[in-house]
Amino acid sequence: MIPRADTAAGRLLRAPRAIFGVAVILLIAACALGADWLMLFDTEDMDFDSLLVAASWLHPLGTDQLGRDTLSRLILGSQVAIEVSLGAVGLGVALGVPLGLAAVTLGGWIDDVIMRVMDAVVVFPSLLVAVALAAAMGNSLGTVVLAIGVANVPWLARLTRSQALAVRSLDYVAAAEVAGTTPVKLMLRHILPNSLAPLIVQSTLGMGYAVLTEAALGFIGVGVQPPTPTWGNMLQQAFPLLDRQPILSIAPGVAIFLLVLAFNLVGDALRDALDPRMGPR
Amino acid sequence: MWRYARRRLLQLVPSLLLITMMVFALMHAIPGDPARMMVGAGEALDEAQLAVVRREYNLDRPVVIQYGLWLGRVLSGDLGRSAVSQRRVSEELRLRAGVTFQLGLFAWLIGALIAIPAGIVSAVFRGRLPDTVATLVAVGAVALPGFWVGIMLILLFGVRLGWLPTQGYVALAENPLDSLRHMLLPAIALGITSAALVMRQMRSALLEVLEQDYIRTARAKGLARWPVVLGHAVRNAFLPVITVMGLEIGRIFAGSVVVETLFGIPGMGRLMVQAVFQHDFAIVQGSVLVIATAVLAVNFATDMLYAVIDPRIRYDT
Repeated sequence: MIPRADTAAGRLLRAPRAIFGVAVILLIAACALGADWLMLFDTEDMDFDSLLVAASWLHPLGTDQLGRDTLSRLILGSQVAIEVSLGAVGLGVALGVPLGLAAVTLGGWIDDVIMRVMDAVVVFPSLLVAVALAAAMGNSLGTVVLAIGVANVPWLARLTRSQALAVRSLDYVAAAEVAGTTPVKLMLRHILPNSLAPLIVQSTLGMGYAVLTEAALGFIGVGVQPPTPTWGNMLQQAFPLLDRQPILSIAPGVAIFLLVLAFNLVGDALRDALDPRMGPR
Repeated sequence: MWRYARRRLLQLVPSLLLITMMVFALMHAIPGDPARMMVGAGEALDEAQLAVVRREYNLDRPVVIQYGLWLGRVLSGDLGRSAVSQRRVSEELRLRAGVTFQLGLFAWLIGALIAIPAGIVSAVFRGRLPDTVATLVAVGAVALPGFWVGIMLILLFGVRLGWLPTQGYVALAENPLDSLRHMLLPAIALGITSAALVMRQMRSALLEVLEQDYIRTARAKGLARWPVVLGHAVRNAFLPVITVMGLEIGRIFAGSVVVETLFGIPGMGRLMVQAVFQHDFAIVQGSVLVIATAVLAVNFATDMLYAVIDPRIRYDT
């Protein structure tokens, strides 16, 4: 069933950029889920008779210096990209939203402390935190998710706080409060659901940013390690071969670009679709 | 103005303290014997020698005392010694901070010089060809990994055309022209995302101002379009642009970690990456602390600039 044109979902699915974005995300998510069926070659299969071969029907994106099929590695790399984007944003939401709500509900000095700590965390660029955390905790998917997720927390906490503050001052919340609703129920039942729209937008944009950060980490050799392919570590391994096999450097970059672009386009379209000023809900 | 500045300055103190606590905690989250870490993984020391190290770095005292002593040393400019080179961390960072600063400034300037005019043109020609092109380029640029743009620039201008050097660094004072030639590609790679974001902010802020009554009044009394845009509108649209440009400094610092590694530039970013692989924790700790403090300082400067440009802020908060 196609949603009606005047609902948020209807507006979203009628925007061409959103359709493009959703299609790309679904395609890459399908690659990640169905990697085992989609890959023509095992990504650890080395073929020393076909090192650095050019694109062909057998190897649409050629092979790398160990004779591994680039397209298959690219497909498998989508798994880490999707895992990192979901994990990092999930962690950011799981910590940031309760912190923002707690700041509003409890108020007073607790609000001050939470927000000051958030202000201090913001000062650490996420890429830097990730590099330092990797130094401290070792290279793994968990470290990458933790580092990018932690960097998301202050933004989501601030956004939740400002949204909840704005919603709390509305008449219907005052009415519920007068009717004797407990603070926790007030927050979860009345304030949070009406503060969600900007959080959804921010989360979508955060997923794109997580993909970019993972790629940068992979390129400097921090994070998920080879032989598990990630788009970032593929770029690292391809760089010394830039003059001989440029497609090895081009393909992962294009994949990163498409996924990030898709997340950003969907985020922008969501922002417009969820804006109540755009029409009746 | 001064009262506002003093209050904001006082607010920096708890922020700085929190930053030092986080940096300190980060290094204490590392599993393993901190004494062994201090001397470097490669050194073979017996228990007695490790005990000396522990005493020297106060590792045998409670964590809170350790933090206090460490903070005292940091405040006097002592960030410890590199486990690899055995030189002072402050000395290692000082040598490289200038390189990173020069690269970052260059990236930031290139970004601003492209983004601000592009944003103005885009807003003035809203919905027409220049706007469409600029907006598409900006939407695309935000989704590009900056370092990958760097790889593509190396492929095009270094490998294929051979026009520009793709590795290394030349000090500006040594040979200005050669220095700029070395800096151009890394600066573009480092600044492209920021440029796209600044352009979008400039466009949307200017569009909002252009709808104001006083702009219509200025046009109605016969002033030409560009003097109105440049003389009245841009000035008033600049506030959110300054915020974004300030925030972008943090992104540029972080990006330098990757871009310096890519282009073989001996700055703080590359030093930090090397330190991570050599388990040289004093260097990692020192660089994170310096960069976080620098970002905090830039945020403060942005706030001050705000108050100078917009007098309402001084009284408002």
